[in-house]
Amino acid sequence: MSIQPDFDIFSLGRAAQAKARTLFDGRACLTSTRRLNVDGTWFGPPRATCSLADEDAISARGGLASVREAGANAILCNLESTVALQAVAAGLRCLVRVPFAAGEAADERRGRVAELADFLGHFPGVDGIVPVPLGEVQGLDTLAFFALCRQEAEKKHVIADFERFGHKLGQLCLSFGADEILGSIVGQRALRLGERASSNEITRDEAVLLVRAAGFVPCERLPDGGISEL
Amino acid sequence: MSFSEVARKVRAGEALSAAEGVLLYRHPNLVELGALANEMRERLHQDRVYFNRNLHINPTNVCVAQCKLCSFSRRAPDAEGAFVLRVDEAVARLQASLLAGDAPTEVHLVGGLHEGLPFSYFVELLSALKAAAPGICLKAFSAVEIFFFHRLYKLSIEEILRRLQGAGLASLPGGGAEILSSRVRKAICPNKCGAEEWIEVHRTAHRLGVKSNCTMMFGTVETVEERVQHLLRLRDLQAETGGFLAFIPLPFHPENNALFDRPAPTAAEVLRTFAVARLVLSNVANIKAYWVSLGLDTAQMALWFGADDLDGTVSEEKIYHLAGARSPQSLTPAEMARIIRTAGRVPVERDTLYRALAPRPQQEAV
Repeated sequence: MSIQPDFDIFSLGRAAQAKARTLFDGRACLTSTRRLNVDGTWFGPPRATCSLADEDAISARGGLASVREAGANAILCNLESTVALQAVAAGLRCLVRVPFAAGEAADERRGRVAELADFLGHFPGVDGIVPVPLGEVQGLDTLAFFALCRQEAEKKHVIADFERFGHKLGQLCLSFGADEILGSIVGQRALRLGERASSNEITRDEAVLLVRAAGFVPCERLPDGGISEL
Repeated sequence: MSFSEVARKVRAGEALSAAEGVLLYRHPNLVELGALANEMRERLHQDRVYFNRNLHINPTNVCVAQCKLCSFSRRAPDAEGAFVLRVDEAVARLQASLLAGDAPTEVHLVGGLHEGLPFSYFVELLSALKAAAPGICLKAFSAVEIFFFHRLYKLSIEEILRRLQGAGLASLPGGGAEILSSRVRKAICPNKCGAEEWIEVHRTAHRLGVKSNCTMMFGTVETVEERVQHLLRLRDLQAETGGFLAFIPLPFHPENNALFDRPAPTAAEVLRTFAVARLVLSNVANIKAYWVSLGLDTAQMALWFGADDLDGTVSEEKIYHLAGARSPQSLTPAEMARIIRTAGRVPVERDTLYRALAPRPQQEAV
């Protein structure tokens, strides 16, 4: 398959980065996150500041009240979500996942971004946007999509999920409009051996280094939702 | 001095100073830096990305140098995991790869500094490989190995190179440069040849008509200023000889070596280094993203930050995988072409000397 980019990656990046720097004053936020599985167990560090439930988990666990009781303080909803309003009203942080596919046509991509803009218009309480790749992850394409999301996001956070993108691409997303990193950020990381060989777990110090090396001031999301500069 | 002044110099084709190189390195906006490097890269190569079909053979991992950055070597010939490849084993490996379908056009040979091998072993190795595949290009022995041969066998650098050339040597790989600074070399590879000696080997090779590559292994103990000085030393030699084919930035890998407590350079730092190298090394035509060392994702992105070459199919890489590289151990030409295309570039198969090759009729066109 030949995928010739029909976008200027540097123009997109310049605009996105300029906007993110203005909005967030050159800061990028680390959010240590655990995720609720559909079976009710958690994946990620137990002391994570963000306990995230997606719509599959909410539905499997019997609704918003149940996942909240289980400890969730944030939800990741879909663009067709029916729970976003309730979640915001219940005081949960509400993030929206925006799917994209590598190599998709420009029209299709414009459609996704328009859908995002429409969603944000209906749900102003949504706090962050999480681009999620469908299928193969490709670097350049991912960076371009982050930049497009930044343009639509206004003051919302654009979030790079380290579980999906890994550290390398996740870090580069910061230069293309992302202002927050979501992942298994831990105090001490277990060795990447056996089942953990491909783990994307990262220590707080490593995450700080990644943010600084990308040219941003690292901050940390606190359990009460506040932001602290590191 | 500002970024826009440096950009003006780049666009005017003027060589950058050390201070300007450092300014680029410290420029906070990676996107701006990448865009400038990409401008120069596209001026030189348009959308093309080169790759070749190559086989890696390591004659031995026995090495007296014991560099702190190395995960490959064994000190003693009888140490666990130590090996010396017999000449017939090396030839068998080449013959197997010739029969496998994606016949290589190049054999890349690098190994340890083994005090117990006669010079005749290396001459016979090249002769036998060349006899097995007369059309193949032998890119063999880093400057560190050539200098070691010079010391061990008490022959001049020129004589060593002439004898190897007579046996089929076509070009030198660029390894062992690390950082061309005596302070850094003393800290990370004190038993390797010095910076001047590394340069002298390449100067001599170029004089004899042997083209070579050059590298920079970054991310250990060096400063940004030392990286830029390294680039300027390479640029000076290129201005003198014109013998460098490609420059290859190599990020340090910290696993299984004595520098394990240092973090590897981040992706942003890697892309920054590619961009600065493209802009400073204005007289070196090609910047290579060695996918084995970078990983495929970063290598693809480097193609937009100054790189125009993805190296080769690399059958059986060992050195970087022992240091923790998680990339595949080899790729087919079709896979390489796909990776290049998905990065939005046009794949061009080349030989060792960067001559474009026609697609092979029996295989998928690249």
